[in-house]
Amino acid sequence: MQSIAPPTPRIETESDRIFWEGVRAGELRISRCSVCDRHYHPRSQCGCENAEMEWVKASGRGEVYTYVIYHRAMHPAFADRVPYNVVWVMLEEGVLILTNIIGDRPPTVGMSVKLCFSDSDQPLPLFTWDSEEV
Amino acid sequence: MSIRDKYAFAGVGVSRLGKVPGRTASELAVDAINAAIADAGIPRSEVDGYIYQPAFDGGPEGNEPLIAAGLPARFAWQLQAGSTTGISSVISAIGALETGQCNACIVLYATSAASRQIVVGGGSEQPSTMGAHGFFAPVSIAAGMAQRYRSQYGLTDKQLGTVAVTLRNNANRRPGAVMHDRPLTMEEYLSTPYLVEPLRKYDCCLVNDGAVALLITSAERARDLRRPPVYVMGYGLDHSLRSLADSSTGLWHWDGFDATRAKEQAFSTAGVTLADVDVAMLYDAFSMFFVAGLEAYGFCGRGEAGAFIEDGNIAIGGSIPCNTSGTALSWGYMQGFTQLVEGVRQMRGEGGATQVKDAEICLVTGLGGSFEPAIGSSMACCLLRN
Repeated sequence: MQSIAPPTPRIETESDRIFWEGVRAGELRISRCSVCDRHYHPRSQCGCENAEMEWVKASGRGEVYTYVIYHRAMHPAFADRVPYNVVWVMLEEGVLILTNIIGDRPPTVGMSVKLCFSDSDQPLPLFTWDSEEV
Repeated sequence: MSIRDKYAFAGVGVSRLGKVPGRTASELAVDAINAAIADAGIPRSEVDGYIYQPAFDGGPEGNEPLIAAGLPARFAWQLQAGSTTGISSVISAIGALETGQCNACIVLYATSAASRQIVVGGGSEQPSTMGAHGFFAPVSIAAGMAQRYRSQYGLTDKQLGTVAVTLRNNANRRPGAVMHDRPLTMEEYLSTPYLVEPLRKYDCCLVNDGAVALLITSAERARDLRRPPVYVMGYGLDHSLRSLADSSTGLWHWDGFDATRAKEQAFSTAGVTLADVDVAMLYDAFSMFFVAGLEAYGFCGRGEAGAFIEDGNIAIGGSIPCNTSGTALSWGYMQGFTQLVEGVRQMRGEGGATQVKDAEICLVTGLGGSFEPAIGSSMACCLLRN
Protein backbone atom coordinates (compact mmCIF):
# COMPACT_ATOMS: atom_id res chain seq x y z
CA MET A 1 0.00 0.00 0.00
CA GLN A 2 1.29 3.40 -0.94
CA SER A 3 2.25 5.41 2.11
CA ILE A 4 0.98 8.94 2.42
CA ALA A 5 3.45 11.63 3.39
CA PRO A 6 2.64 14.15 6.11
CA PRO A 7 2.46 17.80 5.06
CA THR A 8 5.84 19.41 4.50
CA PRO A 9 6.76 22.57 6.43
CA ARG A 10 5.63 25.76 4.78
CA ILE A 11 8.72 27.52 3.48
CA GLU A 12 7.67 30.70 1.73
CA THR A 13 9.49 33.68 3.20
CA GLU A 14 13.15 34.51 3.73
CA SER A 15 12.60 33.95 7.46
CA ASP A 16 11.16 30.50 6.77
CA ARG A 17 14.16 29.66 4.62
CA ILE A 18 16.70 30.72 7.28
CA PHE A 19 14.77 28.86 9.99
CA TRP A 20 14.59 25.58 8.08
CA GLU A 21 18.21 25.82 6.92
CA GLY A 22 19.03 26.05 10.62
CA VAL A 23 17.02 22.93 11.36
CA ARG A 24 18.91 21.03 8.66
CA ALA A 25 22.16 22.28 10.23
CA GLY A 26 21.01 20.96 13.62
CA GLU A 27 20.09 24.25 15.26
CA LEU A 28 16.92 26.04 16.27
CA ARG A 29 17.12 29.62 15.06
CA ILE A 30 14.98 32.33 16.59
CA SER A 31 15.06 36.05 16.01
CA ARG A 32 16.20 38.58 18.56
CA CYS A 33 15.55 42.29 18.71
CA SER A 34 18.84 44.14 19.08
CA VAL A 35 17.03 47.09 20.71
CA CYS A 36 14.84 45.52 23.40
CA ASP A 37 16.37 42.02 23.53
CA ARG A 38 13.06 40.20 23.07
CA HIS A 39 13.14 36.92 21.17
CA TYR A 40 10.60 35.67 18.67
CA HIS A 41 9.76 32.64 16.69
CA PRO A 42 11.06 33.86 13.34
CA ARG A 43 9.71 37.29 12.76
CA SER A 44 11.16 40.14 10.76
CA GLN A 45 10.06 43.05 12.91
CA CYS A 46 9.80 43.68 16.65
CA GLY A 47 6.83 45.10 18.55
CA CYS A 48 9.11 47.92 19.72
CA GLU A 49 9.12 49.04 16.06
CA ASN A 50 12.65 47.96 15.44
CA ALA A 51 12.87 46.59 11.92
CA GLU A 52 16.36 45.15 12.30
CA MET A 53 16.10 41.71 13.84
CA GLU A 54 19.03 39.34 14.17
CA TRP A 55 19.12 35.58 14.13
CA VAL A 56 20.39 33.71 17.15
CA LYS A 57 20.69 30.04 18.02
CA ALA A 58 18.25 29.05 20.77
CA SER A 59 19.63 27.19 23.76
CA GLY A 60 17.25 24.36 22.98
CA ARG A 61 15.99 24.14 26.55
CA GLY A 62 12.50 24.91 27.72
CA GLU A 63 9.40 23.51 29.32
CA VAL A 64 6.05 22.19 28.21
CA TYR A 65 3.44 24.97 28.22
CA THR A 66 0.53 22.82 27.11
CA TYR A 67 -0.14 19.82 24.88
CA VAL A 68 -2.80 17.66 23.27
CA ILE A 69 -2.98 13.97 22.41
CA TYR A 70 -4.54 12.95 19.09
CA HIS A 71 -6.53 9.74 19.43
CA ARG A 72 -7.87 9.95 15.92
CA ALA A 73 -5.79 10.81 12.86
CA MET A 74 -7.06 13.86 11.02
CA HIS A 75 -4.60 13.28 8.20
CA PRO A 76 -3.95 9.81 6.72
CA ALA A 77 -0.19 10.16 7.23
CA PHE A 78 -0.74 10.07 10.98
CA ALA A 79 -3.03 7.03 11.02
CA ASP A 80 -0.33 4.69 12.31
CA ARG A 81 0.95 7.21 14.86
CA VAL A 82 -2.14 7.63 17.04
CA PRO A 83 -2.13 8.28 19.89
CA TYR A 84 0.50 10.98 19.37
CA ASN A 85 1.20 14.32 21.01
CA VAL A 86 1.45 17.90 19.79
CA VAL A 87 3.12 20.14 22.32
CA TRP A 88 3.79 23.84 22.83
CA VAL A 89 7.19 24.38 24.39
CA MET A 90 8.18 27.64 26.06
CA LEU A 91 11.85 28.11 25.28
CA GLU A 92 14.21 29.61 27.86
CA GLU A 93 14.29 32.68 25.64
CA GLY A 94 10.54 33.24 26.17
CA VAL A 95 9.41 31.95 22.79
CA LEU A 96 6.56 29.49 22.43
CA ILE A 97 6.88 26.90 19.66
CA LEU A 98 4.72 24.07 18.41
CA THR A 99 6.49 20.71 18.36
CA ASN A 100 6.27 17.06 19.41
CA ILE A 101 7.77 15.30 22.44
CA ILE A 102 9.55 12.04 21.71
CA GLY A 103 11.06 9.46 24.03
CA ASP A 104 9.72 7.40 26.89
CA ARG A 105 8.47 10.20 29.09
CA PRO A 106 5.07 11.52 27.95
CA PRO A 107 4.46 15.28 28.11
CA THR A 108 3.17 16.96 31.24
CA VAL A 109 2.69 20.69 31.72
CA GLY A 110 5.87 22.18 33.19
CA MET A 111 8.10 19.26 32.17
CA SER A 112 11.69 20.30 31.33
CA VAL A 113 12.60 19.43 27.77
CA LYS A 114 15.56 19.74 25.42
CA LEU A 115 15.83 20.02 21.67
CA CYS A 116 16.43 17.10 19.33
CA PHE A 117 15.65 16.52 15.67
CA SER A 118 13.72 13.97 13.67
CA ASP A 119 15.62 11.75 11.32
CA SER A 120 14.12 12.54 7.93
CA ASP A 121 14.90 14.34 4.67
CA GLN A 122 13.44 17.49 6.09
CA PRO A 123 14.08 17.14 9.82
CA LEU A 124 11.68 18.72 12.29
CA PRO A 125 12.72 20.35 15.56
CA LEU A 126 11.44 18.02 18.30
CA PHE A 127 11.92 17.86 22.05
CA THR A 128 12.50 15.18 24.62
CA TRP A 129 12.49 15.01 28.42
CA ASP A 130 15.52 16.77 29.85
CA SER A 131 16.62 14.38 32.59
CA GLU A 132 19.39 16.74 33.76
CA GLU A 133 16.91 19.41 34.80
CA VAL A 134 15.42 18.84 38.20
CA MET B 1 -25.18 60.03 21.02
CA SER B 2 -25.60 56.58 22.45
CA ILE B 3 -27.06 53.83 20.26
CA ARG B 4 -28.61 52.23 23.34
CA ASP B 5 -32.10 50.92 22.53
CA LYS B 6 -32.20 52.87 19.24
CA TYR B 7 -32.21 49.72 17.11
CA ALA B 8 -33.98 46.43 17.49
CA PHE B 9 -34.34 42.95 16.10
CA ALA B 10 -37.71 42.80 14.39
CA GLY B 11 -37.51 39.42 12.68
CA VAL B 12 -35.87 36.03 13.04
CA GLY B 13 -35.80 33.40 10.34
CA VAL B 14 -34.38 29.89 10.59
CA SER B 15 -34.39 27.36 7.77
CA ARG B 16 -34.45 23.61 8.29
CA LEU B 17 -31.33 22.63 10.24
CA GLY B 18 -29.39 19.40 10.16
CA LYS B 19 -28.77 17.41 7.04
CA VAL B 20 -30.87 18.99 4.31
CA PRO B 21 -29.88 17.21 1.09
CA GLY B 22 -30.86 18.66 -2.23
CA ARG B 23 -31.02 22.20 -0.97
CA THR B 24 -28.11 24.55 -1.60
CA ALA B 25 -26.82 27.04 0.94
CA SER B 26 -28.26 29.82 -1.22
CA GLU B 27 -31.70 28.19 -1.18
CA LEU B 28 -31.54 27.68 2.58
CA ALA B 29 -30.54 31.33 2.87
CA VAL B 30 -33.62 32.41 0.92
CA ASP B 31 -35.78 30.26 3.23
CA ALA B 32 -34.30 32.04 6.26
CA ILE B 33 -34.62 35.52 4.73
CA ASN B 34 -38.25 34.90 3.78
CA ALA B 35 -38.98 33.56 7.24
CA ALA B 36 -37.41 36.62 8.90
CA ILE B 37 -39.40 39.01 6.70
CA ALA B 38 -42.64 37.12 7.35
CA ASP B 39 -41.88 36.99 11.08
CA ALA B 40 -41.37 40.77 11.19
CA GLY B 41 -44.35 41.42 8.92
CA ILE B 42 -42.34 44.06 7.09
CA PRO B 43 -42.88 44.88 3.40
CA ARG B 44 -40.04 43.41 1.33
CA SER B 45 -39.59 46.80 -0.32
CA GLU B 46 -38.29 48.19 2.98
CA VAL B 47 -35.53 45.64 3.44
CA ASP B 48 -32.69 47.49 1.76
CA GLY B 49 -29.57 46.36 3.66
CA TYR B 50 -27.84 42.99 3.37
CA ILE B 51 -24.84 41.59 5.25
CA TYR B 52 -23.73 37.98 5.21
CA GLN B 53 -20.84 35.88 6.39
CA PRO B 54 -19.19 33.53 3.91
CA ALA B 55 -19.10 30.12 5.60
CA PHE B 56 -15.83 28.15 5.91
CA ASP B 57 -16.97 26.33 2.85
CA GLY B 58 -20.33 25.33 1.57
CA GLY B 59 -21.72 28.85 2.01
CA PRO B 60 -24.08 30.75 -0.28
CA GLU B 61 -22.95 31.82 -3.71
CA GLY B 62 -22.21 35.49 -3.22
CA ASN B 63 -25.32 37.61 -3.51
CA GLU B 64 -27.46 34.85 -5.00
CA PRO B 65 -29.84 34.67 -2.01
CA LEU B 66 -30.29 38.42 -2.06
CA ILE B 67 -31.30 38.34 -5.70
CA ALA B 68 -33.51 35.27 -5.30
CA ALA B 69 -35.28 36.80 -2.31
CA GLY B 70 -35.88 39.98 -4.29
CA LEU B 71 -34.57 42.42 -1.73
CA PRO B 72 -34.11 45.99 -2.99
CA ALA B 73 -30.76 46.27 -1.23
CA ARG B 74 -28.68 49.41 -1.34
CA PHE B 75 -25.62 47.45 -0.27
CA ALA B 76 -24.57 43.83 -0.02
CA TRP B 77 -21.67 43.32 2.34
CA GLN B 78 -19.68 40.18 2.91
CA LEU B 79 -18.18 40.27 6.38
CA GLN B 80 -15.65 37.82 7.78
CA ALA B 81 -14.47 38.03 11.36
CA GLY B 82 -14.68 34.38 12.39
CA SER B 83 -17.43 33.74 14.87
CA THR B 84 -17.51 37.36 15.93
CA THR B 85 -19.16 37.98 12.56
CA GLY B 86 -22.70 37.61 13.91
CA ILE B 87 -22.28 40.46 16.37
CA SER B 88 -20.01 42.38 13.99
CA SER B 89 -22.78 42.20 11.37
CA VAL B 90 -25.21 43.68 13.88
CA ILE B 91 -22.75 46.48 14.60
CA SER B 92 -22.31 47.10 10.86
CA ALA B 93 -26.05 47.06 10.27
CA ILE B 94 -26.59 49.59 13.06
CA GLY B 95 -23.84 51.76 11.57
CA ALA B 96 -25.64 51.66 8.23
CA LEU B 97 -29.01 52.40 9.83
CA GLU B 98 -27.58 55.21 11.96
CA THR B 99 -26.06 56.94 8.94
CA GLY B 100 -29.12 56.54 6.76
CA GLN B 101 -27.71 53.91 4.41
CA CYS B 102 -30.70 51.62 4.88
CA ASN B 103 -34.05 51.30 6.63
CA ALA B 104 -33.95 47.63 7.54
CA CYS B 105 -31.06 45.23 7.29
CA ILE B 106 -30.82 41.46 6.97
CA VAL B 107 -27.82 39.76 8.58
CA LEU B 108 -27.36 36.21 7.40
CA TYR B 109 -25.43 32.99 7.81
CA ALA B 110 -26.00 29.95 5.61
CA THR B 111 -24.15 26.71 5.06
CA SER B 112 -24.52 23.32 3.44
CA ALA B 113 -21.42 21.95 5.17
CA ALA B 114 -23.08 18.67 6.17
CA SER B 115 -24.51 17.75 2.77
CA ARG B 116 -21.30 18.72 1.06
CA GLN B 117 -19.32 16.74 3.62
CA ILE B 118 -17.03 19.61 4.47
CA VAL B 119 -14.31 18.47 6.85
CA VAL B 120 -13.63 21.44 9.08
CA GLY B 121 -9.93 21.68 9.78
CA GLY B 122 -9.07 18.32 8.26
CA GLY B 123 -5.57 17.72 6.98
CA SER B 124 -4.77 18.67 3.42
CA GLU B 125 -1.99 18.24 0.90
CA GLN B 126 -0.88 21.83 1.35
CA PRO B 127 2.49 22.55 2.98
CA SER B 128 1.88 23.37 6.62
CA THR B 129 4.42 23.67 9.39
CA MET B 130 1.77 22.82 11.96
CA GLY B 131 0.58 19.95 9.79
CA ALA B 132 4.13 18.59 9.60
CA HIS B 133 3.92 18.15 13.37
CA GLY B 134 0.46 16.61 13.09
CA PHE B 135 -1.49 19.63 14.33
CA PHE B 136 -4.90 19.80 12.66
CA ALA B 137 -8.41 21.07 13.30
CA PRO B 138 -9.65 23.92 15.51
CA VAL B 139 -10.60 21.42 18.24
CA SER B 140 -6.88 21.11 18.95
CA ILE B 141 -6.75 24.74 20.02
CA ALA B 142 -9.57 24.17 22.50
CA ALA B 143 -7.88 20.97 23.68
CA GLY B 144 -4.55 22.73 24.30
CA MET B 145 -6.37 25.40 26.23
CA ALA B 146 -8.22 22.77 28.27
CA GLN B 147 -5.03 20.86 29.05
CA ARG B 148 -3.25 23.93 30.40
CA TYR B 149 -6.33 24.94 32.39
CA ARG B 150 -6.56 21.43 33.79
CA SER B 151 -2.95 21.47 34.99
CA GLN B 152 -3.34 24.87 36.61
CA TYR B 153 -6.78 24.70 38.18
CA GLY B 154 -8.06 21.20 37.73
CA LEU B 155 -10.87 20.53 35.30
CA THR B 156 -12.41 17.11 35.36
CA ASP B 157 -13.87 15.21 32.43
CA LYS B 158 -17.16 15.28 34.29
CA GLN B 159 -17.08 19.08 34.52
CA LEU B 160 -16.42 19.38 30.77
CA GLY B 161 -19.09 16.75 30.19
CA THR B 162 -21.57 18.77 32.21
CA VAL B 163 -21.37 21.51 29.56
CA ALA B 164 -22.12 19.02 26.78
CA VAL B 165 -24.88 17.24 28.70
CA THR B 166 -26.55 20.46 29.93
CA LEU B 167 -26.65 21.94 26.45
CA ARG B 168 -27.90 18.66 25.02
CA ASN B 169 -30.69 18.58 27.60
CA ASN B 170 -31.69 22.05 26.45
CA ALA B 171 -31.71 20.99 22.79
CA ASN B 172 -33.81 17.92 23.67
CA ARG B 173 -36.51 20.31 24.87
CA ARG B 174 -36.39 22.48 21.77
CA PRO B 175 -38.09 21.25 18.59
CA GLY B 176 -36.03 22.22 15.56
CA ALA B 177 -32.69 21.63 17.27
CA VAL B 178 -30.47 19.27 15.29
CA MET B 179 -30.05 17.08 18.41
CA HIS B 180 -33.66 17.41 19.59
CA ASP B 181 -34.25 13.65 19.50
CA ARG B 182 -30.80 12.58 20.66
CA PRO B 183 -30.33 12.52 24.44
CA LEU B 184 -26.83 12.45 25.92
CA THR B 185 -26.08 11.05 29.35
CA MET B 186 -22.95 11.64 31.40
CA GLU B 187 -22.24 7.91 31.21
CA GLU B 188 -22.27 8.05 27.41
CA TYR B 189 -20.09 11.16 27.43
CA LEU B 190 -17.50 9.60 29.73
CA SER B 191 -17.42 6.27 27.91
CA THR B 192 -16.74 7.89 24.53
CA PRO B 193 -13.06 7.88 23.58
CA TYR B 194 -11.09 11.08 23.38
CA LEU B 195 -10.85 12.75 19.99
CA VAL B 196 -8.08 15.21 20.80
CA GLU B 197 -7.40 14.65 24.49
CA PRO B 198 -8.74 16.03 26.76
CA LEU B 199 -11.73 16.66 24.44
CA ARG B 200 -14.24 14.23 22.95
CA LYS B 201 -16.59 14.56 19.98
CA TYR B 202 -19.32 15.79 22.33
CA ASP B 203 -17.11 18.74 23.23
CA CYS B 204 -17.23 19.87 19.58
CA CYS B 205 -19.86 21.84 17.69
CA LEU B 206 -22.10 20.23 15.13
CA VAL B 207 -21.50 20.28 11.40
CA ASN B 208 -24.88 20.89 9.79
CA ASP B 209 -26.76 22.50 6.93
CA GLY B 210 -29.01 25.45 7.52
CA ALA B 211 -29.43 29.19 7.44
CA VAL B 212 -30.41 31.91 9.88
CA ALA B 213 -31.39 35.48 9.11
CA LEU B 214 -32.08 38.33 11.51
CA LEU B 215 -33.80 41.56 10.59
CA ILE B 216 -32.67 44.78 12.27
CA THR B 217 -34.35 48.15 12.01
CA SER B 218 -34.94 51.26 14.08
CA ALA B 219 -36.67 50.74 17.43
CA GLU B 220 -39.36 53.12 16.26
CA ARG B 221 -40.11 51.09 13.13
CA ALA B 222 -39.82 47.81 15.02
CA ARG B 223 -42.54 48.87 17.47
CA ASP B 224 -45.01 49.08 14.55
CA LEU B 225 -44.17 45.63 13.24
CA ARG B 226 -45.65 42.25 14.01
CA ARG B 227 -43.34 40.96 16.74
CA PRO B 228 -42.23 42.57 20.03
CA PRO B 229 -38.92 44.37 19.41
CA VAL B 230 -35.74 43.08 21.01
CA TYR B 231 -33.57 46.11 21.68
CA VAL B 232 -29.81 46.25 21.27
CA MET B 233 -28.57 47.85 24.48
CA GLY B 234 -24.88 47.87 23.67
CA TYR B 235 -22.00 45.94 22.18
CA GLY B 236 -18.24 45.76 22.23
CA LEU B 237 -15.23 44.17 20.56
CA ASP B 238 -11.72 43.25 21.56
CA HIS B 239 -8.82 41.52 19.87
CA SER B 240 -5.75 39.81 21.23
CA LEU B 241 -3.74 41.33 18.40
CA ARG B 242 -3.09 44.25 20.72
CA SER B 243 -0.95 42.03 22.90
CA LEU B 244 0.85 40.34 20.04
CA ALA B 245 2.97 43.29 19.00
CA ASP B 246 5.19 42.99 22.05
CA SER B 247 4.74 39.34 22.85
CA SER B 248 6.49 36.34 21.45
CA THR B 249 4.00 34.00 23.03
CA GLY B 250 0.57 35.49 22.43
CA LEU B 251 -0.37 33.14 19.63
CA TRP B 252 -3.61 32.19 21.28
CA HIS B 253 -5.21 32.75 24.63
CA TRP B 254 -3.76 29.62 26.19
CA ASP B 255 -4.47 31.17 29.57
CA GLY B 256 -8.09 32.14 29.00
CA PHE B 257 -9.78 34.73 26.83
CA ASP B 258 -9.40 38.42 27.38
CA ALA B 259 -12.68 40.18 26.70
CA THR B 260 -11.91 43.22 28.86
CA ARG B 261 -12.50 45.94 26.30
CA ALA B 262 -15.45 44.16 24.69
CA LYS B 263 -17.41 43.86 27.90
CA GLU B 264 -16.49 47.31 29.20
CA GLN B 265 -17.75 48.89 26.00
CA ALA B 266 -20.93 46.82 25.91
CA PHE B 267 -21.90 47.26 29.54
CA SER B 268 -21.06 50.96 29.69
CA THR B 269 -23.18 51.63 26.59
CA ALA B 270 -26.00 49.55 28.02
CA GLY B 271 -25.75 51.14 31.46
CA VAL B 272 -26.14 47.80 33.23
CA THR B 273 -23.85 45.39 35.07
CA LEU B 274 -23.26 41.67 34.88
CA ALA B 275 -25.62 41.18 37.83
CA ASP B 276 -28.45 42.50 35.62
CA VAL B 277 -27.97 39.75 33.04
CA ASP B 278 -30.69 37.09 33.29
CA VAL B 279 -29.56 34.69 30.60
CA ALA B 280 -26.38 34.28 28.56
CA MET B 281 -25.48 32.78 25.20
CA LEU B 282 -21.75 32.15 25.32
CA TYR B 283 -19.89 31.12 22.22
CA ASP B 284 -19.53 27.37 22.32
CA ALA B 285 -17.79 25.97 19.25
CA PHE B 286 -16.10 23.80 21.88
CA SER B 287 -17.06 23.14 25.49
CA MET B 288 -13.73 24.64 26.59
CA PHE B 289 -14.51 27.93 24.86
CA PHE B 290 -17.71 28.06 26.87
CA VAL B 291 -15.76 27.35 30.08
CA ALA B 292 -13.29 30.14 29.29
CA GLY B 293 -16.15 32.46 28.31
CA LEU B 294 -17.78 32.13 31.73
CA GLU B 295 -14.57 33.42 33.29
CA ALA B 296 -13.76 36.03 30.63
CA TYR B 297 -17.12 37.71 31.15
CA GLY B 298 -16.91 37.38 34.93
CA PHE B 299 -19.72 34.94 35.78
CA CYS B 300 -17.12 33.24 37.96
CA GLY B 301 -13.47 33.83 38.82
CA ARG B 302 -10.43 32.47 37.07
CA GLY B 303 -10.10 28.78 37.78
CA GLU B 304 -13.61 28.48 39.20
CA ALA B 305 -15.59 27.55 36.10
CA GLY B 306 -15.38 23.77 36.50
CA ALA B 307 -17.04 23.76 39.92
CA PHE B 308 -19.41 26.55 38.85
CA ILE B 309 -20.67 24.40 35.98
CA GLU B 310 -20.84 21.20 38.01
CA ASP B 311 -22.93 22.98 40.64
CA GLY B 312 -25.68 23.54 38.09
CA ASN B 313 -25.34 27.29 37.66
CA ILE B 314 -25.58 27.22 33.86
CA ALA B 315 -28.69 25.04 33.64
CA ILE B 316 -32.27 26.29 33.39
CA GLY B 317 -33.10 27.27 36.96
CA GLY B 318 -29.42 27.91 37.77
CA SER B 319 -27.90 31.26 38.75
CA ILE B 320 -27.18 32.12 35.11
CA PRO B 321 -28.97 29.90 32.59
CA CYS B 322 -26.82 29.66 29.48
CA ASN B 323 -27.17 28.55 25.87
CA THR B 324 -30.80 27.61 26.32
CA SER B 325 -31.34 26.20 22.81
CA GLY B 326 -28.30 23.92 23.05
CA THR B 327 -26.52 26.34 20.68
CA ALA B 328 -23.47 25.22 18.70
CA LEU B 329 -22.95 21.94 20.58
CA SER B 330 -26.53 20.71 20.14
CA TRP B 331 -28.89 23.13 18.36
CA GLY B 332 -26.93 23.89 15.19
CA TYR B 333 -23.62 25.45 14.25
CA MET B 334 -24.16 28.78 12.50
CA GLN B 335 -20.85 30.22 13.69
CA GLY B 336 -21.62 33.26 15.89
CA PHE B 337 -25.21 33.59 14.65
CA THR B 338 -26.48 30.60 16.65
CA GLN B 339 -26.14 32.45 19.95
CA LEU B 340 -27.72 35.64 18.57
CA VAL B 341 -30.82 33.82 17.35
CA GLU B 342 -31.39 32.24 20.75
CA GLY B 343 -30.72 35.55 22.52
CA VAL B 344 -33.47 37.21 20.50
CA ARG B 345 -35.85 34.29 21.06
CA GLN B 346 -35.33 34.35 24.83
CA MET B 347 -35.96 38.09 24.93
CA ARG B 348 -39.22 37.51 23.05
CA GLY B 349 -40.22 34.76 25.46
CA GLU B 350 -40.13 32.19 22.65
CA GLY B 351 -37.82 29.77 24.42
CA GLY B 352 -40.58 27.21 24.90
CA ALA B 353 -39.60 24.51 27.40
CA THR B 354 -36.27 26.23 28.07
CA GLN B 355 -37.59 29.77 28.38
CA VAL B 356 -36.02 31.61 31.32
CA LYS B 357 -38.92 33.05 33.27
CA ASP B 358 -39.11 36.84 33.39
CA ALA B 359 -35.76 37.21 31.60
CA GLU B 360 -35.22 40.83 30.59
CA ILE B 361 -31.55 41.12 29.67
CA CYS B 362 -29.40 38.71 27.66
CA LEU B 363 -25.65 38.67 27.04
CA VAL B 364 -24.55 37.17 23.71
CA THR B 365 -20.89 36.52 22.93
CA GLY B 366 -18.86 35.60 19.88
CA LEU B 367 -15.30 34.54 19.34
CA GLY B 368 -13.05 34.54 16.32
CA GLY B 369 -9.61 33.22 15.69
CA SER B 370 -7.28 32.33 12.90
CA PHE B 371 -5.85 28.86 12.80
CA GLU B 372 -2.66 29.00 10.81
CA PRO B 373 -0.70 30.97 11.56
CA ALA B 374 -2.65 30.85 14.83
CA ILE B 375 -2.27 34.48 15.56
CA GLY B 376 -4.82 36.24 17.62
CA SER B 377 -8.37 35.79 18.63
CA SER B 378 -11.16 38.30 18.69
CA MET B 379 -13.99 38.75 21.15
CA ALA B 380 -17.42 40.27 20.61
CA CYS B 381 -20.42 40.66 22.86
CA CYS B 382 -23.74 42.42 22.87
CA LEU B 383 -26.54 43.01 25.34
CA LEU B 384 -30.18 42.56 24.35
CA ARG B 385 -33.35 43.45 26.21
CA ASN B 386 -37.05 43.13 25.68
